[in-house]
Amino acid sequence: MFSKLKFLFLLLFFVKISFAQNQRIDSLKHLAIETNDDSLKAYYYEHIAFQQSKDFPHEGLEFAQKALDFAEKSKSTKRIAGAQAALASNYRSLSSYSEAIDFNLKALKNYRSLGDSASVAAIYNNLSLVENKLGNSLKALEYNYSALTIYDKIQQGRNKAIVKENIANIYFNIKDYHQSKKYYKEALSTYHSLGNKADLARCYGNIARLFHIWEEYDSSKIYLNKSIALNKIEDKEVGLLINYSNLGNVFLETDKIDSALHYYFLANKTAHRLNLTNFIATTSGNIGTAYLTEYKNHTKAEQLRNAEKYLKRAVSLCDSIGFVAPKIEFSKELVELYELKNEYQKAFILLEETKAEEDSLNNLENKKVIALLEHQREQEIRENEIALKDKEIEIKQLNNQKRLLGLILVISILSVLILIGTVVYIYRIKRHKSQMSEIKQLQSHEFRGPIASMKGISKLMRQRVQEGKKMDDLITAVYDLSEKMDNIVKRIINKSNHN
Amino acid sequence: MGKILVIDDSFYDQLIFKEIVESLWPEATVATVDSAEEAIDFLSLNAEKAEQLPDYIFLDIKMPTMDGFGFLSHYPSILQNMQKNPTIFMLSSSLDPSDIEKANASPHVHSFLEKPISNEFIEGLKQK
Repeated sequence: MFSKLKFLFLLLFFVKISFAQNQRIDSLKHLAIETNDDSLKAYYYEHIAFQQSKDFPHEGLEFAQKALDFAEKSKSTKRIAGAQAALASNYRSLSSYSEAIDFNLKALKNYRSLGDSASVAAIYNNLSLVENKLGNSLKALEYNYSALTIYDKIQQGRNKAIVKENIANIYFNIKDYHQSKKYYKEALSTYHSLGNKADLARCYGNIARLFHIWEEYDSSKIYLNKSIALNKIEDKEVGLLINYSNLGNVFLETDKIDSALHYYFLANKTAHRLNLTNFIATTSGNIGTAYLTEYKNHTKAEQLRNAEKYLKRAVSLCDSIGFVAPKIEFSKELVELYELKNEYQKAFILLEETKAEEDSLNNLENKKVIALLEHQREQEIRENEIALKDKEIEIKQLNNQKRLLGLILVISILSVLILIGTVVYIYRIKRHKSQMSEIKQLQSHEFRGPIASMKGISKLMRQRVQEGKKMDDLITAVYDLSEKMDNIVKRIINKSNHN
Repeated sequence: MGKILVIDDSFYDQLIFKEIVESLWPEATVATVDSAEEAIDFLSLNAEKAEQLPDYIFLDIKMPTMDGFGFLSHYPSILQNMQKNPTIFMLSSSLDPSDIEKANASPHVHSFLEKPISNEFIEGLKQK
């Protein structure tokens, strides 16, 4: 009966283009005004824009635009790219995803032209985060894999691990838990070797969700406790809040309502302290659900009152921030509660409302599923095409090799013929000493010429076969040169006949 | 140090030379002329412009109107005005000892090379 309760929060890690230091915005503004250098101005505004993107994206956007103006004035590609990335980052924070993609792609192009691999990888990562937000999981995966390849080359271990963790998150979302686990484990082993506690805490927490899905609650608890311990050391309150909430879920699944409530309340308190409405809403809903469960076991009126209070609060908060899926879940709990209280009229109205919302959500979800399938189908077609092309190239290379073998055979036969011709010729000229000088001329120049050329052509053939290049001109050359040799042989024969 | 001028009437020998140099020494630039007369024109026209002049000249012997040795006899007079002193190699298919002797006797020729040009020679030139 608890299986519908699945508010497991995903910890997504955002990697942005990293800067050496986090200077104060005021001092950066000051520096930007002081300097006369446009590219420096662009540089400072770009920094400010990045720092603002997290909390004040509207302001950040203005600074990013300023950065872009100065960057364009200074004609520095690097600064232009930086400003574009800053614009993208702020647009993403404002949920203007199409603009975010647009500017990321522009920045990508510029960073590519500069050969700045690390920044290219960072942009790939930003693109994957945007695509993930849009529900394009596969596109997000593609971008992540591109970033992974680059980090592999430039040996940035931590960034590589972060990308792997993001890949694992995406696989988790599309319910490929096997792949998800694989990537979490790979990321985890890197974090272990680097010893960064915050990274470890986040990754442990994410792995715990996998065990929860697999109903291996004991393992899930172990990982959550590891994560909690590390988050406490690192003072990561949001991390702790998520851990508490997930731990509460584990206890609720295993029917330990008291413990579940304990952790839900811890999470709820933290959410209040940090003033995070979405977490206040979900933790309140969880508390309400836990009370309702307890009421069904013990039928105490107080528990029912508590359940109603928290569920109502959760539903209204979810409604205020447009948190549709949790709202539906909590509303259903509330319907059940009204039924238990015999308030059928209330139950009926709420049920009607919830059903309508659920239908529209399902429609949306269905569209996403269809889009996903469509994308998978396209990818499959593309892969097939690539495989087909590979086959074609293979066959071509085989044919080339066959042709080359044939040519080599022809050349060797010709060479032997020429050799015999030369021997006969030399033998004859020895008998005709009077024509010695003319013959020498023929031998050293005319005769050697095409043979040397043939040697050169065969050298090129070997080279081109290895590189898989076309050889049409060389084949013509072989024909021309052999005809030349043929003519010389004919002339020699004529001469010797005359003598 | 990678400008090369090839003086050779044979289209195929030009092609062979170019492709071998391209694959072993991609930074080098290879210019070709089909006759000794063309080479003389080119060098005297660009005598003042050091950046246009080659570092190395590869000279064929047997060519229809003026041969390699004909070029060499004209060479001292062009060299006087030239801003650069290219190294000349004779690249020929001839095995005639008298050709080789004559080539080696010329003060402007660095050495006599047999066609087709060997990879080792180009590699060696690249190292210089």
